[in-house]
Amino acid sequence: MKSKSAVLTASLAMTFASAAYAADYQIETVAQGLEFPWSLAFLPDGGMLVTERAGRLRYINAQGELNPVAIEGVPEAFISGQAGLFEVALDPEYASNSRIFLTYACGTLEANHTCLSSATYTATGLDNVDELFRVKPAKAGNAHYGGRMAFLPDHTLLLTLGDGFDYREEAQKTTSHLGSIVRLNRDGSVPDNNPYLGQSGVLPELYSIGHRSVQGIIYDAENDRVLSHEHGPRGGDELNLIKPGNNYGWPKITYGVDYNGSIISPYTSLPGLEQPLVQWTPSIAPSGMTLYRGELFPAWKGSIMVSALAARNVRRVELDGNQVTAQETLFEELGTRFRDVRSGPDGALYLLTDAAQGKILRVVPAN
Amino acid sequence: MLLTILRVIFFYLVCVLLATILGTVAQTQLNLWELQQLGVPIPGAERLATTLGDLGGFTPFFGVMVAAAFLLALPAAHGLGMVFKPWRWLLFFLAGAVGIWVAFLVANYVLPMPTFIAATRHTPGLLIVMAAVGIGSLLFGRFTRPPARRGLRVLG
Repeated sequence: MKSKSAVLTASLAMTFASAAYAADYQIETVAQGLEFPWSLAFLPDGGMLVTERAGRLRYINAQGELNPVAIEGVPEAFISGQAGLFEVALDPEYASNSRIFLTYACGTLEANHTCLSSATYTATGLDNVDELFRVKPAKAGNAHYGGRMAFLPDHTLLLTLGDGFDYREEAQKTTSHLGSIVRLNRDGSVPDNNPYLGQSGVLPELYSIGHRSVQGIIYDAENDRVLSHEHGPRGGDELNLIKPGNNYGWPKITYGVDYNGSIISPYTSLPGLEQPLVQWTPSIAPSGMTLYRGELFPAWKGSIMVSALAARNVRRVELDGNQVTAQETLFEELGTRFRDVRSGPDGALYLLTDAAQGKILRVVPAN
Repeated sequence: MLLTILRVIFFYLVCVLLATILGTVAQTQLNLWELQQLGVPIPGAERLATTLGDLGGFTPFFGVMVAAAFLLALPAAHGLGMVFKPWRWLLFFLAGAVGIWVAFLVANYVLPMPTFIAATRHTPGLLIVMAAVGIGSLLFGRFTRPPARRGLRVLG
């Protein structure tokens, strides 16, 4: 429910940028009581679909009212640790086909995958649910799935995948989807111009490799580029410019060390491996990303917004070409872990908090 | 009596340090070996720098695990060694090795990451690190060996 009483006015905490960027905003609670909300999609009717990691897909109508009943027909997710239901995204041609895409962990603790399904969204639930893709090979454990999606102008789909934590070397192998970004047609087939297509023994879905735990990806239409971020270990979170066929280095190179302090690799750069546009040490734990192109905050227009779990803020990143020129820390005063950040069609910024009683927050100008 | 206690504490600290260093060096080489399997060159200077780096960065965590494991494992080995005297050295080796394995299990269960120490993800690596720590506990058994006595031997 939209709670006007929950409105609070805040000033920006400027960390790296100059005070000239400061903007006043207020934050409204759109919905609350969501169990680890993970992703948000805006429907043409003004409503929203939101995923809960616990395996539920929820509907919020244009008036901001959360339907207390979860949408039926959602594929069964493997729910444990970081595993569960992840992203929801509308088909680029949703207006004509009502298709949505869902990512989720599937399988068991001993053998599980990141999975992608599409379905038709109707008033009564999901129909024609079709599993399009599942990561090969299966892995054990419940960490590092990726699960974020972005659509390219040709309507192919990029899907981010994690390395499964204990399988980090797989990120360097073209025989494994773990630790990669894959590109698919919307029916799950492989586009005929994928970068690794036709190479013997190589998985044709691969678009880029050498990733750790990728939980943010956007297509920037204005600059015709793909940007993604990924969790480093202890330090070394990265914002990357994604190009087909590139290797982003994990775990051969990294700016982070293991959680126990041990060195994962002595190298931060090696020939043939891509460098990040920016790396964050200590880790901020980047969890979601959006490109703000709204009208409500002119000072933020064109900025990359990165939600962060460990840092408990949203990092606004300014780019000049592919150079990071400024960063600003937002919403730190809320003191909460952020799972996702979205740029709404109304020009507002939407935040998902990472909590058992999670919220959807809407950021609008203070006046 | 006091001297005996101080002597045991001294050897405990020395052997914790030794086991920590051996285990650290072992896990570093295992991590570097994994990188080499991916085609990453590891010349001697990088190997040395990484090993020294881990001795600075990894030992604080690992040392606590070894110290905690030895607190339980060494008295157990001592007690069993009084009964199974000929196998005292083996018991002390196994006590340290199994003790650190239990410490790994506890860490993996309590901490959010699936495996706290990457070098122990696979059985060969786990056994190597366990053996390295076992050498430390074995030396403790050697240093604190009671003086040999003539007389009846129980169970051998």
